[in-house]
Amino acid sequence: MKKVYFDANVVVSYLLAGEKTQNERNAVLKLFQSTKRQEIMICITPLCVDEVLHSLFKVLKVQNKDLQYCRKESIRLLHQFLKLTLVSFESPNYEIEDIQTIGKYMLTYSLRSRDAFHVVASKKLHCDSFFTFDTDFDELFTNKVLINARETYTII
Amino acid sequence: MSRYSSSSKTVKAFSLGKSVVVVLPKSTRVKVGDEFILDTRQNEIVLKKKTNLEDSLQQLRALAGSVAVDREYSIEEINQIIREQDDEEAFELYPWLKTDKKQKKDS
Repeated sequence: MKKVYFDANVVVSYLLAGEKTQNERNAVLKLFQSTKRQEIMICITPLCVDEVLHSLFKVLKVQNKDLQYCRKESIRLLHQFLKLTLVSFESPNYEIEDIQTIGKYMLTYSLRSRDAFHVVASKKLHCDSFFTFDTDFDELFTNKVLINARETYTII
Repeated sequence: MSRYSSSSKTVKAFSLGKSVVVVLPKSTRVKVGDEFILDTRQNEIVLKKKTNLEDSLQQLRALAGSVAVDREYSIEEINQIIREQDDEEAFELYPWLKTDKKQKKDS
């Protein structure tokens, strides 16, 4: 079974789903469709959950001043996504040595700390590929540090 | 003899002999005929109920656009919102950072 690590922007763009993110939404659907002959598991981590909740809350509060409603709605929407049968919520066991690795990625690839955490999480969870719409990871794909899920499943 | 620990979806087994005992998570409802996907990497064994691809796709399609927003966001805007989280938290804890940033911009 193949494990695909999902970055937060993939989940958020799918849930918002306007015309502007039509291509991104199609890419997610194509990933599902391209797995007819092989089983996949979509891996969501606590870091991804944190970023999705932050983004949904921020988008919702633009039009609704009831912040408690926005919080509840963000959690409800994320929970709907996590309930999908192919989605697996997994938490890596970080160790003190991982901080060195995170630092190495930050310095080598000029990554933000959160992005470096995503890279380490995907490796610790033995994910086969990494699905993102963030170009900050491009250099890691080029240098084969990560395998680009959009290339693996020909969904560019 | 085997030791195991389990979370809601992952079962870990450490075999001391030739046989491995796999324990399903408590939340898993099993009926005759159900198929499971077994994934073994190092000492970790992951079991997941095999699902129909069409059902999964249908579930996913139903979720598209489930956030009620009054305007559309591009992927660049979404990435920006995600990135802003670091800055916002930092500004809340260390408000002078915001002032420093503004002064830098002005100068």
